[in-house]
Amino acid sequence: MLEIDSLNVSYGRVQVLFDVSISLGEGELVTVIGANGAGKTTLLLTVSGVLRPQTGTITLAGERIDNLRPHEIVGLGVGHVPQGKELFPAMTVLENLEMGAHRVKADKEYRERLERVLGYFPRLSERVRQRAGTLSGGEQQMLAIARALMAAPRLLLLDEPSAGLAPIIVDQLAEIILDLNRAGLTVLLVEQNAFLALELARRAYVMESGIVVESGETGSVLESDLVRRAYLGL
Amino acid sequence: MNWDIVFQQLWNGLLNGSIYVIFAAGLSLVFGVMRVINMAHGELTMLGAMLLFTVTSGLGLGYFTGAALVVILMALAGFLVNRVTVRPFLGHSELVVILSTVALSFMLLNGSLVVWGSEPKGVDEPFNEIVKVGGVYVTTAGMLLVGVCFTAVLGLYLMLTHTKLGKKTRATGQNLLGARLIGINTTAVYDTTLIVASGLAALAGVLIVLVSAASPNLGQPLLITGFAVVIVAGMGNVAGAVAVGLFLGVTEALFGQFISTYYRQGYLYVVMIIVLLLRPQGLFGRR
Ligand SMILES: Nc1ncnc2c1ncn2[C@@H]1O[C@H](COP(=O)(O)OP(=O)(O)O)[C@@H](O)[C@H]1O
Ligand SMILES: [Mg+2]
Repeated sequence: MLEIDSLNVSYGRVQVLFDVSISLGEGELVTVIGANGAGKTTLLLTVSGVLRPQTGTITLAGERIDNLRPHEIVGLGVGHVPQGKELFPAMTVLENLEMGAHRVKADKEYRERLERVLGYFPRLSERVRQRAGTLSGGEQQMLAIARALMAAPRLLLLDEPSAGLAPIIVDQLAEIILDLNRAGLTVLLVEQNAFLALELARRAYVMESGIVVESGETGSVLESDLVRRAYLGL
Repeated sequence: MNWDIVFQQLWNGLLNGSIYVIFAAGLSLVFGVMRVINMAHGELTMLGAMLLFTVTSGLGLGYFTGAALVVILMALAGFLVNRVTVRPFLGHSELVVILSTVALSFMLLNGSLVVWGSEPKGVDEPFNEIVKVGGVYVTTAGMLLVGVCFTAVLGLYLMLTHTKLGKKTRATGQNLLGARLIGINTTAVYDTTLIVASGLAALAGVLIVLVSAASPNLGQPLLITGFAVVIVAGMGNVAGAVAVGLFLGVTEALFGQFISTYYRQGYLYVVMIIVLLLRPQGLFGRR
């Protein structure tokens, strides 16, 4: 589904990603873990076309997307839930969701999607008329995911969805992410919270200072000394 | 107290205030959506007025045909304003964009002085009758001005709140990255925003001609008044700009009548400074 090959990305003169290669099969839930500053957000923003790679290729279902613009990439079925959530704070929850589905022309299709997405997030359906800026942190994270789902993506990029949330909310989110994946959505989950990520994903990549230092089945990644020391504190 | 004078000044204030409203709405729209302070907005209005003079006196078009043609042409020019003076500089500091629009405004002003000279030019309007309502003298052209201003601003409001394009525009203004990541073509949104703003600026220009002469020098004072309105209302708040534009137009006229004609312009700045001291985000601005 997604093939990232030898990606090099810089901000100005400062190179941040070095020969990063990551691949996701259709229907997989794969995680990238790494400490703050490892380059996880940069990686996802490059997949979405917000940042341009210096060299390297990104292929989505056989089609090169590394030279496309963000709205074209969304059009091909990539949803992105960014680290800062990046909601429209003065718009209502419903308007945020409507914006997520802005490509949908038919009213019937829009309603079906809205119903399906709100089905995952009952708390949001109680708050559809509330302004997004007034939601709690957990609700904002749910809205950010719901907004991305309204575009009916094939691939969902999740940037640290658990950051700053209470453990009970993180558990709810984990359930939802698993449900979405079981329903067929391919998920690339980026996390600092290695426990959560390794619990959800079958395969994992570990990034350090812009380099993929470890990858494989979650079980074997868990075993590695590096991960045990750096991310799990064992 | 002579109430006829009060009502006459209310009417005069309404005429000025309507122009402030439509002018400030465009200025505020561009800031609200793009975080760009368009220093050329005043000259776009001026160009609207001067082009109307040329197409009516030179090409012999009637007022309405000429005004429609000018507004459409200027709206299309808004695309160029974005692509030439705004978009190339967006990644840089905000100051760079301000300077590039200042450069555009100088080019438009000096170019217009070369083409039209600095003499004010009258434009014929075929329907300029004077009607006495109570003790107040009102012109049909003035009524047209007020009507068109409010229709245009109401149209803008409905577009922003009820159409998909308008909602995408507001979303882009509230969070550019968020808008890009859900697949809104924000380049197209920026183009459209300057097309609409430039069309509104030119509409203000062809309406000003209904109550005063067209002159290459009308843009600068209007820009400063426009900023007073936008700053008092809160940057980027289009609805607030409507209320403040009207309020300032009317109170400015009353101030000129009853306190001092001489300090009439100064009145606007005093209001602006007081509001900035008490509420730096503007009356309707959010922190
Ligand atoms: N806009 C930016 N300009 C310059 N450097 C940046 C920018 N954003 C991130 N960086 C740098 O790039 C590196 C990777 O950042 P990021 O991708 O945000 O990492 P992570 O998401 O893993 O915390 C860090 O060293 C960070 O300081
Ligand atoms: Mg990050």
